[in-house]
Amino acid sequence: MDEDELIDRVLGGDAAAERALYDAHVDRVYRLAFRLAGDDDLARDLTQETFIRAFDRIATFRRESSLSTWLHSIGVSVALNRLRTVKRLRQRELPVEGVPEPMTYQRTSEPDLKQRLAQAIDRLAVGYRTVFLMHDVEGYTHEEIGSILGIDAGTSKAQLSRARAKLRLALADFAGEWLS
Amino acid sequence: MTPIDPLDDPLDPTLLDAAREYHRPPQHVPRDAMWAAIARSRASRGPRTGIRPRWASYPALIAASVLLAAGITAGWFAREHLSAPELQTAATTATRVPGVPEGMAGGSTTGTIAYRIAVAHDLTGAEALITAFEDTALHSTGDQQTSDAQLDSWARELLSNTRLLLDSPAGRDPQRRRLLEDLELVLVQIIQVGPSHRADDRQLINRTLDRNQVLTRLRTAIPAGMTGL
Repeated sequence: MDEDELIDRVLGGDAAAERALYDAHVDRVYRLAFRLAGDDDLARDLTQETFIRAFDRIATFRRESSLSTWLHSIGVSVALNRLRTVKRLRQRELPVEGVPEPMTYQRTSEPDLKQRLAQAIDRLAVGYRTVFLMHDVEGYTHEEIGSILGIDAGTSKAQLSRARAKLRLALADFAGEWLS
Repeated sequence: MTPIDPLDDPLDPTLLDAAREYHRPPQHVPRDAMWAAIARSRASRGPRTGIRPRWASYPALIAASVLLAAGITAGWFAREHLSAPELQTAATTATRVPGVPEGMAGGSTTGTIAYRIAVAHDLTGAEALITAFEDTALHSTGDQQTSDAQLDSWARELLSNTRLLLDSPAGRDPQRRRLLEDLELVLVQIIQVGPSHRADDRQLINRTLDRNQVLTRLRTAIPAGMTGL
Protein backbone atom coordinates (compact mmCIF):
# COMPACT_ATOMS: atom_id res chain seq x y z
CA MET A 1 0.00 0.00 0.00
CA ASP A 2 1.53 3.35 -0.93
CA GLU A 3 1.55 6.37 1.35
CA ASP A 4 -1.32 8.20 -0.37
CA GLU A 5 -3.56 5.17 -0.10
CA LEU A 6 -2.63 4.73 3.54
CA ILE A 7 -3.48 8.35 4.29
CA ASP A 8 -6.78 8.03 2.45
CA ARG A 9 -7.69 5.02 4.54
CA VAL A 10 -6.74 6.83 7.76
CA LEU A 11 -8.93 9.73 6.69
CA GLY A 12 -11.72 7.23 6.11
CA GLY A 13 -11.46 6.07 9.73
CA ASP A 14 -9.68 2.78 9.10
CA ALA A 15 -8.12 1.78 12.43
CA ALA A 16 -5.80 -0.78 10.83
CA ALA A 17 -4.43 1.92 8.54
CA GLU A 18 -3.78 4.15 11.54
CA ARG A 19 -1.78 1.40 13.14
CA ALA A 20 0.11 0.74 9.89
CA LEU A 21 1.00 4.41 9.61
CA TYR A 22 2.14 4.42 13.21
CA ASP A 23 4.25 1.29 12.79
CA ALA A 24 5.91 2.72 9.71
CA HIS A 25 7.16 5.85 11.47
CA VAL A 26 7.18 5.37 15.21
CA ASP A 27 10.71 4.02 15.59
CA ARG A 28 12.35 7.03 13.99
CA VAL A 29 10.10 9.52 15.78
CA TYR A 30 10.81 7.86 19.12
CA ARG A 31 14.56 7.72 18.50
CA LEU A 32 14.68 11.42 17.74
CA ALA A 33 12.48 12.23 20.75
CA PHE A 34 14.81 10.20 22.94
CA ARG A 35 17.90 11.93 21.57
CA LEU A 36 16.35 15.29 22.35
CA ALA A 37 14.87 14.39 25.72
CA GLY A 38 17.34 11.84 27.08
CA ASP A 39 14.62 10.19 29.11
CA ASP A 40 12.46 7.21 28.23
CA ASP A 41 9.27 8.41 29.90
CA LEU A 42 9.54 11.81 28.31
CA ALA A 43 10.43 10.35 24.91
CA ARG A 44 7.33 8.14 25.11
CA ASP A 45 5.15 11.11 26.02
CA LEU A 46 6.56 13.15 23.17
CA THR A 47 6.08 10.33 20.68
CA GLN A 48 2.52 9.74 21.82
CA GLU A 49 1.71 13.42 21.65
CA THR A 50 3.19 13.57 18.16
CA PHE A 51 0.94 10.81 16.84
CA ILE A 52 -2.12 12.10 18.66
CA ARG A 53 -1.65 15.47 17.02
CA ALA A 54 -0.87 13.88 13.68
CA PHE A 55 -4.08 11.83 13.69
CA ASP A 56 -6.03 14.89 14.79
CA ARG A 57 -4.65 16.98 11.96
CA ILE A 58 -4.09 14.51 9.18
CA ALA A 59 -6.90 16.07 7.17
CA THR A 60 -4.77 19.21 6.95
CA PHE A 61 -1.74 17.33 5.56
CA ARG A 62 -1.38 18.69 2.03
CA ARG A 63 0.94 15.96 0.77
CA GLU A 64 3.46 18.53 -0.47
CA SER A 65 6.15 16.92 1.66
CA SER A 66 6.52 13.30 2.67
CA LEU A 67 4.43 12.03 5.53
CA SER A 68 7.64 11.32 7.43
CA THR A 69 8.77 14.94 7.14
CA TRP A 70 5.36 16.16 8.26
CA LEU A 71 5.31 13.79 11.24
CA HIS A 72 8.83 14.77 12.23
CA SER A 73 8.03 18.45 12.05
CA ILE A 74 5.18 17.84 14.51
CA GLY A 75 7.49 15.69 16.64
CA VAL A 76 10.30 18.23 16.82
CA SER A 77 7.87 21.03 17.57
CA VAL A 78 6.23 19.02 20.36
CA ALA A 79 9.62 18.04 21.77
CA LEU A 80 11.18 21.49 21.76
CA ASN A 81 8.10 23.12 23.27
CA ARG A 82 7.84 20.53 26.00
CA LEU A 83 11.56 20.55 26.78
CA ARG A 84 11.50 24.34 27.03
CA THR A 85 8.68 24.13 29.53
CA VAL A 86 10.27 21.31 31.51
CA LYS A 87 13.55 23.25 31.68
CA ARG A 88 11.76 26.41 32.83
CA LEU A 89 9.78 24.58 35.48
CA ARG A 90 12.80 22.70 36.77
CA GLN A 91 14.84 25.88 36.93
CA ARG A 92 12.07 27.50 38.95
CA GLU A 93 12.08 24.50 41.24
CA LEU A 94 15.83 24.34 41.82
CA PRO A 95 17.11 26.20 44.85
CA VAL A 96 19.43 28.99 43.84
CA GLU A 97 22.50 27.19 45.08
CA GLY A 98 21.53 24.15 42.99
CA VAL A 99 21.49 25.95 39.64
CA PRO A 100 24.68 25.16 37.75
CA GLU A 101 26.53 28.16 36.43
CA PRO A 102 26.69 27.92 32.66
CA MET A 103 30.09 27.82 31.00
CA THR A 104 32.05 27.78 34.24
CA TYR A 105 33.29 24.25 33.91
CA GLN A 106 36.57 23.58 35.59
CA ARG A 107 38.50 20.48 34.93
CA THR A 108 38.93 19.43 38.51
CA SER A 109 38.83 15.73 37.74
CA GLU A 110 39.23 13.67 34.61
CA PRO A 111 35.75 12.93 33.33
CA ASP A 112 35.91 10.82 30.25
CA LEU A 113 35.39 12.15 26.79
CA LYS A 114 31.77 11.00 26.53
CA GLN A 115 30.79 12.78 29.68
CA ARG A 116 32.50 16.00 28.66
CA LEU A 117 31.00 15.78 25.21
CA ALA A 118 27.53 15.23 26.67
CA GLN A 119 27.95 18.33 28.82
CA ALA A 120 29.10 20.31 25.79
CA ILE A 121 26.12 19.11 23.73
CA ASP A 122 23.78 20.07 26.58
CA ARG A 123 25.23 23.57 26.54
CA LEU A 124 24.68 24.07 22.81
CA ALA A 125 21.90 26.44 21.83
CA VAL A 126 18.77 24.44 21.14
CA GLY A 127 18.89 25.07 17.38
CA TYR A 128 22.49 23.95 17.08
CA ARG A 129 21.90 20.95 19.29
CA THR A 130 18.86 19.84 17.31
CA VAL A 131 20.66 20.08 13.97
CA PHE A 132 23.76 18.37 15.35
CA LEU A 133 21.79 15.46 16.80
CA MET A 134 19.66 15.08 13.70
CA HIS A 135 22.56 15.19 11.23
CA ASP A 136 25.66 13.79 12.90
CA VAL A 137 24.00 11.43 15.35
CA GLU A 138 20.79 10.29 13.67
CA GLY A 139 21.84 10.68 10.04
CA TYR A 140 19.18 13.04 8.66
CA THR A 141 20.20 14.99 5.55
CA HIS A 142 20.32 18.78 5.55
CA GLU A 143 17.36 18.78 3.16
CA GLU A 144 15.32 16.67 5.58
CA ILE A 145 16.35 18.80 8.53
CA GLY A 146 15.50 21.96 6.63
CA SER A 147 12.01 20.67 5.79
CA ILE A 148 11.39 19.43 9.32
CA LEU A 149 12.61 22.55 11.09
CA GLY A 150 11.30 24.98 8.48
CA ILE A 151 14.74 26.37 7.64
CA ASP A 152 16.91 26.32 4.51
CA ALA A 153 19.21 23.39 4.01
CA GLY A 154 22.05 25.94 3.92
CA THR A 155 21.04 27.25 7.35
CA SER A 156 21.05 23.72 8.67
CA LYS A 157 24.54 23.24 7.27
CA ALA A 158 25.77 26.49 8.82
CA GLN A 159 24.26 25.64 12.20
CA LEU A 160 25.87 22.22 12.12
CA SER A 161 29.24 23.76 11.34
CA ARG A 162 28.91 26.16 14.29
CA ALA A 163 27.76 23.35 16.57
CA ARG A 164 30.79 21.26 15.65
CA ALA A 165 33.10 24.24 16.19
CA LYS A 166 31.66 24.85 19.64
CA LEU A 167 32.05 21.19 20.55
CA ARG A 168 35.66 21.15 19.36
CA LEU A 169 36.33 24.27 21.40
CA ALA A 170 34.67 22.85 24.49
CA LEU A 171 36.77 19.71 24.19
CA ALA A 172 40.00 21.36 23.16
CA ASP A 173 41.91 19.81 26.04
CA PHE A 174 40.98 16.38 24.75
CA ALA A 175 42.21 17.15 21.23
CA GLY A 176 45.32 15.03 21.61
CA GLU A 177 43.19 11.98 22.24
CA TRP A 178 41.29 12.12 19.00
CA LEU A 179 43.96 13.67 16.83
CA SER A 180 46.57 11.12 17.79
CA MET B 1 37.88 18.79 -9.05
CA THR B 2 35.11 19.17 -6.46
CA PRO B 3 35.22 22.54 -4.66
CA ILE B 4 35.88 22.31 -0.92
CA ASP B 5 32.87 23.30 1.17
CA PRO B 6 34.13 25.31 4.16
CA LEU B 7 31.04 24.24 6.14
CA ASP B 8 31.66 20.57 5.54
CA ASP B 9 34.06 19.93 8.37
CA PRO B 10 33.08 16.58 9.88
CA LEU B 11 33.97 15.71 13.43
CA ASP B 12 36.78 13.34 14.09
CA PRO B 13 35.47 9.74 14.16
CA THR B 14 36.41 9.34 17.83
CA LEU B 15 34.34 12.36 18.74
CA LEU B 16 31.52 11.24 16.50
CA ASP B 17 31.45 7.83 18.14
CA ALA B 18 31.30 9.50 21.53
CA ALA B 19 28.47 11.76 20.28
CA ARG B 20 26.44 8.72 19.29
CA GLU B 21 26.42 7.68 22.92
CA TYR B 22 24.63 10.92 23.85
CA HIS B 23 21.06 10.08 24.88
CA ARG B 24 21.35 6.73 23.14
CA PRO B 25 17.83 5.34 22.67
CA PRO B 26 17.11 1.80 23.80
CA GLN B 27 17.19 -0.90 21.14
CA HIS B 28 13.61 -1.85 21.83
CA VAL B 29 11.02 0.77 20.94
CA PRO B 30 7.95 0.34 23.18
CA ARG B 31 5.56 0.41 20.24
CA ASP B 32 2.63 -1.42 21.77
CA ALA B 33 2.73 0.46 25.06
CA MET B 34 2.80 3.82 23.27
CA TRP B 35 0.04 2.76 20.90
CA ALA B 36 -2.14 1.74 23.82
CA ALA B 37 -1.54 5.12 25.48
CA ILE B 38 -2.38 6.94 22.25
CA ALA B 39 -5.61 4.96 21.89
CA ARG B 40 -6.57 5.68 25.52
CA SER B 41 -5.87 9.35 25.18
CA ARG B 42 -7.82 9.70 21.94
CA ALA B 43 -10.73 7.77 23.37
CA SER B 44 -10.84 9.87 26.53
CA ARG B 45 -10.91 13.15 24.66
CA GLY B 46 -13.75 12.36 22.31
CA PRO B 47 -17.44 12.95 22.93
CA ARG B 48 -18.17 9.29 22.53
CA THR B 49 -16.91 8.28 25.98
CA GLY B 50 -18.93 8.04 29.14
CA ILE B 51 -17.34 11.13 30.59
CA ARG B 52 -19.89 13.70 31.59
CA PRO B 53 -19.68 16.98 29.75
CA ARG B 54 -17.40 19.18 31.80
CA TRP B 55 -19.90 22.00 31.90
CA ALA B 56 -22.34 19.65 33.61
CA SER B 57 -19.74 18.66 36.17
CA TYR B 58 -18.92 21.98 37.75
CA PRO B 59 -21.92 24.24 38.27
CA ALA B 60 -20.03 26.21 40.90
CA LEU B 61 -17.22 26.77 38.47
CA ILE B 62 -19.61 28.03 35.82
CA ALA B 63 -21.10 30.44 38.33
CA ALA B 64 -17.62 31.58 39.33
CA SER B 65 -16.64 32.15 35.71
CA VAL B 66 -19.75 34.21 35.02
CA LEU B 67 -19.19 36.21 38.16
CA LEU B 68 -15.56 36.73 37.30
CA ALA B 69 -16.39 37.99 33.83
CA ALA B 70 -19.10 40.26 35.23
CA GLY B 71 -16.74 41.60 37.87
CA ILE B 72 -14.00 42.39 35.43
CA THR B 73 -16.42 44.03 33.01
CA ALA B 74 -17.95 46.07 35.81
CA GLY B 75 -14.54 47.15 37.02
CA TRP B 76 -13.38 48.29 33.63
CA PHE B 77 -16.71 49.94 32.88
CA ALA B 78 -16.62 51.89 36.11
CA ARG B 79 -13.07 53.01 35.56
CA GLU B 80 -13.81 54.12 32.00
CA HIS B 81 -17.17 55.83 32.54
CA LEU B 82 -17.39 57.19 36.07
CA SER B 83 -15.81 60.42 37.22
CA ALA B 84 -13.34 60.42 40.11
CA PRO B 85 -15.83 61.72 42.72
CA GLU B 86 -18.36 59.11 41.62
CA LEU B 87 -15.75 56.40 41.95
CA GLN B 88 -14.81 57.61 45.41
CA THR B 89 -18.45 57.62 46.48
CA ALA B 90 -18.99 54.16 45.06
CA ALA B 91 -15.96 52.85 46.86
CA THR B 92 -16.84 54.34 50.21
CA THR B 93 -20.49 53.39 50.14
CA ALA B 94 -20.05 49.89 48.78
CA THR B 95 -21.85 47.31 50.83
CA ARG B 96 -19.67 44.76 52.51
CA VAL B 97 -20.33 41.25 51.32
CA PRO B 98 -20.70 38.75 54.16
CA GLY B 99 -17.72 36.48 54.34
CA VAL B 100 -15.46 38.73 52.32
CA PRO B 101 -13.23 40.58 54.71
CA GLU B 102 -11.75 43.99 54.12
CA GLY B 103 -8.32 42.42 53.94
CA MET B 104 -9.22 41.05 50.54
CA ALA B 105 -9.28 44.51 49.05
CA GLY B 106 -6.53 45.25 46.61
CA GLY B 107 -6.44 49.00 46.92
CA SER B 108 -8.43 49.64 43.75
CA THR B 109 -11.32 52.02 44.15
CA THR B 110 -13.44 50.40 41.46
CA GLY B 111 -15.28 47.16 41.32
CA THR B 112 -13.43 45.95 44.40
CA ILE B 113 -16.26 43.83 45.71
CA ALA B 114 -16.77 42.05 42.42
CA TYR B 115 -13.05 41.39 42.19
CA ARG B 116 -12.89 40.17 45.78
CA ILE B 117 -15.71 37.72 45.13
CA ALA B 118 -14.12 36.59 41.90
CA VAL B 119 -10.77 36.04 43.62
CA ALA B 120 -12.43 34.17 46.46
CA HIS B 121 -14.26 31.92 43.99
CA ASP B 122 -11.07 31.25 42.11
CA LEU B 123 -9.13 30.41 45.25
CA THR B 124 -11.92 28.21 46.56
CA GLY B 125 -11.98 26.30 43.29
CA ALA B 126 -8.19 26.00 43.32
CA GLU B 127 -8.15 24.60 46.82
CA ALA B 128 -10.76 22.01 45.87
CA LEU B 129 -8.84 21.10 42.73
CA ILE B 130 -5.52 20.67 44.51
CA THR B 131 -7.16 18.57 47.19
CA ALA B 132 -8.80 16.44 44.51
CA PHE B 133 -5.50 16.14 42.65
CA GLU B 134 -3.69 14.95 45.74
CA ASP B 135 -6.49 12.56 46.50
CA THR B 136 -6.43 11.16 42.97
CA ALA B 137 -2.68 10.71 43.17
CA LEU B 138 -3.00 8.78 46.39
CA HIS B 139 -6.02 6.66 45.56
CA SER B 140 -6.05 5.44 41.98
CA THR B 141 -9.38 3.91 41.06
CA GLY B 142 -10.75 1.90 38.19
CA ASP B 143 -12.30 5.03 36.78
CA GLN B 144 -8.95 6.80 36.76
CA GLN B 145 -9.22 7.97 33.16
CA THR B 146 -12.48 9.80 33.76
CA SER B 147 -11.09 11.37 36.88
CA ASP B 148 -7.93 12.51 35.09
CA ALA B 149 -9.93 14.05 32.26
CA GLN B 150 -12.14 15.91 34.69
CA LEU B 151 -9.18 17.19 36.69
CA ASP B 152 -7.56 18.35 33.49
CA SER B 153 -10.57 20.30 32.25
CA TRP B 154 -11.15 21.71 35.72
CA ALA B 155 -7.52 22.87 35.94
CA ARG B 156 -7.79 24.51 32.52
CA GLU B 157 -10.87 26.45 33.58
CA LEU B 158 -9.17 27.62 36.75
CA LEU B 159 -5.99 28.53 34.91
CA SER B 160 -7.92 30.70 32.52
CA ASN B 161 -9.70 32.42 35.42
CA THR B 162 -6.47 32.86 37.35
CA ARG B 163 -4.81 34.51 34.37
CA LEU B 164 -7.77 36.82 33.92
CA LEU B 165 -7.44 37.82 37.56
CA LEU B 166 -3.70 38.38 37.23
CA ASP B 167 -4.39 40.79 34.39
CA SER B 168 -7.16 42.54 36.29
CA PRO B 169 -6.89 45.08 39.12
CA ALA B 170 -7.22 42.10 41.47
CA GLY B 171 -3.66 41.21 40.55
CA ARG B 172 -2.24 44.55 41.67
CA ASP B 173 -2.02 43.65 45.31
CA PRO B 174 1.53 42.22 45.63
CA GLN B 175 0.65 39.53 48.14
CA ARG B 176 -2.37 38.34 46.20
CA ARG B 177 -0.42 38.52 42.96
CA ARG B 178 2.28 36.21 44.35
CA LEU B 179 -0.37 33.73 45.42
CA LEU B 180 -2.08 33.85 42.02
CA GLU B 181 1.27 33.41 40.25
CA ASP B 182 2.14 30.39 42.38
CA LEU B 183 -1.32 29.03 41.74
CA GLU B 184 -0.83 29.57 38.00
CA LEU B 185 2.39 27.54 38.12
CA VAL B 186 0.73 24.68 39.98
CA LEU B 187 -2.20 24.64 37.55
CA VAL B 188 0.15 24.59 34.56
CA GLN B 189 2.01 21.68 36.11
CA ILE B 190 -1.19 19.77 36.80
CA ILE B 191 -2.28 20.26 33.20
CA GLN B 192 1.11 19.26 31.87
CA VAL B 193 1.46 16.02 33.76
CA GLY B 194 -1.67 14.91 31.98
CA PRO B 195 -3.41 11.64 32.54
CA SER B 196 -0.23 9.71 33.25
CA HIS B 197 0.42 11.37 36.62
CA ARG B 198 3.92 9.96 36.72
CA ALA B 199 5.58 9.83 40.11
CA ASP B 200 8.34 12.32 39.27
CA ASP B 201 5.83 14.79 37.85
CA ARG B 202 3.71 14.51 40.94
CA GLN B 203 6.81 15.05 43.00
CA LEU B 204 7.54 18.24 41.07
CA ILE B 205 4.05 19.54 41.78
CA ASN B 206 4.20 18.51 45.41
CA ARG B 207 7.51 20.34 45.77
CA THR B 208 5.95 23.51 44.38
CA LEU B 209 3.00 23.11 46.71
CA ASP B 210 5.20 22.47 49.74
CA ARG B 211 7.89 25.02 49.06
CA ASN B 212 5.49 27.83 48.34
CA GLN B 213 2.97 26.66 50.94
CA VAL B 214 0.32 27.16 48.30
CA LEU B 215 -2.44 25.23 49.99
CA THR B 216 -1.91 26.95 53.33
CA ARG B 217 -1.86 30.38 51.72
CA LEU B 218 -4.96 29.52 49.69
CA ARG B 219 -6.84 28.49 52.81
CA THR B 220 -5.73 31.62 54.60
CA ALA B 221 -6.83 33.81 51.72
CA ILE B 222 -10.26 32.22 51.36
CA PRO B 223 -12.70 34.09 53.57
CA ALA B 224 -14.82 32.11 55.99
CA GLY B 225 -18.16 31.20 54.49
CA MET B 226 -16.83 30.96 50.94
CA THR B 227 -15.90 27.27 51.04
CA GLY B 228 -18.32 24.79 49.55
CA LEU B 229 -19.47 27.14 46.83
